[in-house]
Amino acid sequence: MRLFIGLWFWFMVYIGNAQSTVMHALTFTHIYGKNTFALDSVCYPVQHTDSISFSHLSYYISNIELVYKNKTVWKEENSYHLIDVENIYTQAFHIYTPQSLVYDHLVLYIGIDSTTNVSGAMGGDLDPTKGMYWTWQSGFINLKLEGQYKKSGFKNQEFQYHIGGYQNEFNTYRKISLKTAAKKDMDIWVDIEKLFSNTDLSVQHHIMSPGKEAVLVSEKFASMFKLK
Amino acid sequence: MVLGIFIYAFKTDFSVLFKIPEQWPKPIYSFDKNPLTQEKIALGRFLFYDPILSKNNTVSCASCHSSYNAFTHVDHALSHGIDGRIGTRNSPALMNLAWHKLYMWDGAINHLDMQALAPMSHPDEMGEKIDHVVYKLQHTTHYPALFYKAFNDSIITGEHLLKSISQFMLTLVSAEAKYDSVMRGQSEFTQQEKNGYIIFKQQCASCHQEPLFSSFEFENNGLPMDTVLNDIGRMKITKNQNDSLKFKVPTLRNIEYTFPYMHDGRFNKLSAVINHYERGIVKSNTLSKKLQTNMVLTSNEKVDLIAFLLTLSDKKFLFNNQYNFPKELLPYLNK
Repeated sequence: MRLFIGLWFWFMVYIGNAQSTVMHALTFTHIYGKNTFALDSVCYPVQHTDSISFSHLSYYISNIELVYKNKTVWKEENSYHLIDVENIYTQAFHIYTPQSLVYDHLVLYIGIDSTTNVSGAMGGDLDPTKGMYWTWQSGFINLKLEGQYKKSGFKNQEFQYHIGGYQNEFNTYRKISLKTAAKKDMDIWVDIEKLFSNTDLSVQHHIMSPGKEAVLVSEKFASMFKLK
Repeated sequence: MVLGIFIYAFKTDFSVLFKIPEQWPKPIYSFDKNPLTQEKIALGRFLFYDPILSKNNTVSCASCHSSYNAFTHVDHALSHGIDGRIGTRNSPALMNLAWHKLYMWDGAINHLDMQALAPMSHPDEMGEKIDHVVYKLQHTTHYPALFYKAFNDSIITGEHLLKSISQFMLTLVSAEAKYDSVMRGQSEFTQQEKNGYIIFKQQCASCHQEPLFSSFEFENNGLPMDTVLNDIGRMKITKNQNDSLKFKVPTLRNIEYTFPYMHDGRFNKLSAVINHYERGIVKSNTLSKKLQTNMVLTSNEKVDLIAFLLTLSDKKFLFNNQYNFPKELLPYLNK
């Protein structure tokens, strides 16, 4: 009998929780300036004289928060999402918040925080088989972008940006704060062209380790993200 | 009450699998995130000895880390890999790994779990990709069952692969040398070893701190740079000039078996190492503060010092049958 009452209690709590939760869809749409962003075969003009194409784009979104008047009112637990342009299922996911939550900003981070970087092997989107963990030196790759640029001085005209680094002055983990009305679903637009402002790809065609160059790229992350 | 029994059971189980030797500091590895179990350690041991981790299934961890040589590659100055390739550094001896802060000669690796990724992926070592290792393991007849036993999941992941290898490596504790029994008051040094211990404490112990015989810090010990390898050590990772030519202080435990010595295996004998500290040190901006004056020893004192260093040999560790090749793996190799 006691067991039954106990189970009934937990069931009611469960129902109660289910009713007071709101499911929001977060969708990431990738663009290149005024064009939609697509991998392979699609070339985008660069300054009238050259063109760029992409073969890979993936990055981490983590530690999602809702903020009201500069105070965090909700935080996603275990908040790590790998977004991979090749896999459409990674470009939208749900978050679950309490009902009638008041907030004015959606806060998210590009990359993986330093504590997680030193916490050993992890699963899910953080699993090292996902190709977002350096092997020769510990640390997550926060953003991986690869493709071809005609004037890249490298073989096959290729360029590769593996942007990561979590320590001190080489930290590339970046906060994005987006003003929002309290609405159900959020469409986030990500403009890849912003990553290349003031960058000469013919010189800077490879960034493959933590350092000053990676930090400069990471400082452009914030300008890429807009809430529609 | 039930919880109490559970906690007690866990505690006894754990202490059988991993004992902190008397008077040793607390380990740095966080066991709570990867609690040791018999099944996971056994799986890790299988993986450690299985060449399936390499691209062409010819090189295993044990190829360069042999249990009979305190888990290093004796007689090989630089590590060997697939297709006869040769790396740029001396494979380090593996023991007491739960106490390390950082791994590799240059501290490139920040956690034991992530350590195995480096040799697995390096083109001059195992030349493989972890997602492909997982694929290969998943398609064997035996590994899905072993992963199920260990993790309650027959779907193999990179996380479980790395954590089980960590578990086996964590069990490699060497604390049963003659030195240890003397410290516990169970035996005595000879006069020569006693003299050597005094010299050790004066000359070596500031870096090779007891009881682990390393500070696990990075130091430039004044080796002239090898102009073929041009290895700048820790600076490669931190990009900081102050870290130029610094390498991790290695433990001296089982040093009798871990020759050749130094990050590039340049010295074959302990006497050559001692001679380096006596008259081989190259001065530079980053030279260790502890090595600003040369070591001066008589030839008798050198012999005494070596006699002491030999008391750090731990035969129980070297010939522990929990550490060597698991015979149960034999029928499955290259299948």
